Amino acid sequence: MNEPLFPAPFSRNVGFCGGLSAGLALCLALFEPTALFGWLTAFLFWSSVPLGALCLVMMMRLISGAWRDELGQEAEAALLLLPLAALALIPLLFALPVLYGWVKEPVGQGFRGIYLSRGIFVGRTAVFLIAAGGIAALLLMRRRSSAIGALGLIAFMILHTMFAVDWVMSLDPHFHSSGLGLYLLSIETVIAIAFLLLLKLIAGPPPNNTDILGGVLFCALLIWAYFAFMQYLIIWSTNFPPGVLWYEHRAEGMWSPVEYAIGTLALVPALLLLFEPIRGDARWLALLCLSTLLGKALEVAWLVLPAASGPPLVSFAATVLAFAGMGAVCLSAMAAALRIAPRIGRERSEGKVRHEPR
Amino acid sequence: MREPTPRTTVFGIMAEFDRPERLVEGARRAREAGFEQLDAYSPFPVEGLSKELGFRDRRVSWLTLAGGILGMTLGFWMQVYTNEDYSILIGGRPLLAVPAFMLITFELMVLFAVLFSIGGMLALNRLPRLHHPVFDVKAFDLAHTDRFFLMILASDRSFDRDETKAFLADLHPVGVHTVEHTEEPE
Repeated sequence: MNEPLFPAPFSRNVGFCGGLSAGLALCLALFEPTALFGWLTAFLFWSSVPLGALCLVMMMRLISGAWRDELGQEAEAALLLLPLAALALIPLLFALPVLYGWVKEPVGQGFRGIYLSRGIFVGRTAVFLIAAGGIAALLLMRRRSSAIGALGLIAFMILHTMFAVDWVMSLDPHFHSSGLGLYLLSIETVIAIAFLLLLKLIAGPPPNNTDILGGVLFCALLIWAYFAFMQYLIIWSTNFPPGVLWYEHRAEGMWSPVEYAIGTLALVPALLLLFEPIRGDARWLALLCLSTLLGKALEVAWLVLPAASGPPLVSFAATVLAFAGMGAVCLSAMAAALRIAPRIGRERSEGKVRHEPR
Repeated sequence: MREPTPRTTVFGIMAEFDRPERLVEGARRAREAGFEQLDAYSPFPVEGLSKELGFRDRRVSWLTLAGGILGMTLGFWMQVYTNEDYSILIGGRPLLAVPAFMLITFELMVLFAVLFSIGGMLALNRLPRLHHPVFDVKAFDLAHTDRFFLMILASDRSFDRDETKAFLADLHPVGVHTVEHTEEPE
């Protein structure tokens, strides 16, 4: 992208306000530590931009087509946000006893007890982040692209399931679902696609193949629907208490309308994207991206907040503050990343030219 | 696109090109010259050709959607009907267990969408068909290997046997062929 997303001073102000808002959320957590459930919600949503983009870039290295030309630059720029995601995780590492019941009351003897212990948990998270960062760096260096794409996808899929089990599934130490990792990854990929697409439609030059971008969003929404429904169907069929309780707990009170909203905000766009005039229209597509992002924000909250202890108003306020804060920082960082990312490739290719014998 | 009826003098006039780019270029110029009833033949899909031909027929897409909706409805109704008619209660499962019904509903939606899509495509193309007037052009065999054909059908409003022939000759083709009507039945 040649023209800046928005002017640098404005972008800096947005980032500053975002930092302030996130700081407020952390201050709230000093008085009421359960506010960090809100931080975790916001983290899961906004970390999806670099993590989902990582998945996308690896697929772009393997699957050619117009989507690569249209979304490639944005997705590569989003990889540069990975350090920020790691930074946002630090407050949570200090608050593990608040977030996870198993820290204070070990859930079992033997392997399960060891697996869910604080030190090893932090170690696994570090392994995941280092691996994600390593793959991202290799991808940005653009050497042996397809091999890194293929091996990276396999490794990332396994490591990401580990990450999802740790940070989301263990909120309820009795809940077990082997599909949760893929389900969360589908949420993250949808968020990344919708976010990058929205950014491109609003700020970038008009895309040449809007209908193909609409097709990519459609595809991502279908994959999400598949994983979300499969987990539900398997738990519904087996009818075992821990899984049923997990869903029952998430259908109580105000979470019931939230469930309907999650379904509607994703499936209505998917249905509309079937129609070529809508899929090919930039304004419609931007609107559907917004709807998708809103739905996914609700879904992440739906995954985390029902497990929250403490006053609900505090975790709600913290969610809003942290969400807005991280979002603003993410936007401002994206504006910078879009300026930096194309240069990484160019310097390499210029370097190549210089080393060639004359 | 309507095929020319035997009331027209010929079926159409066809230009033969040796490169796909020439075919796309030819289609574009024919559209610019005001021709609307065009058809093209090539050994492989040529990018951008359907756009230059002015192909905006969405009937197969709509048929696919209709098939999907019909399959979905049928699949769901079939399960509701069988469960209501032969009710067997197992393990406290509700008689109308919507989550479990979704799999068959989805499968039948895909099946009917595909059947409508393929069947609709065949029917709209009037296939299977034993013969077509273009087969009488000797050079047309090459459409299977390395030649690209652009035809202006006689049903076009601006069609004139000599003028259209002259127009196609202007596109620098390898050859221009007149496609005669065949005897009925095809």
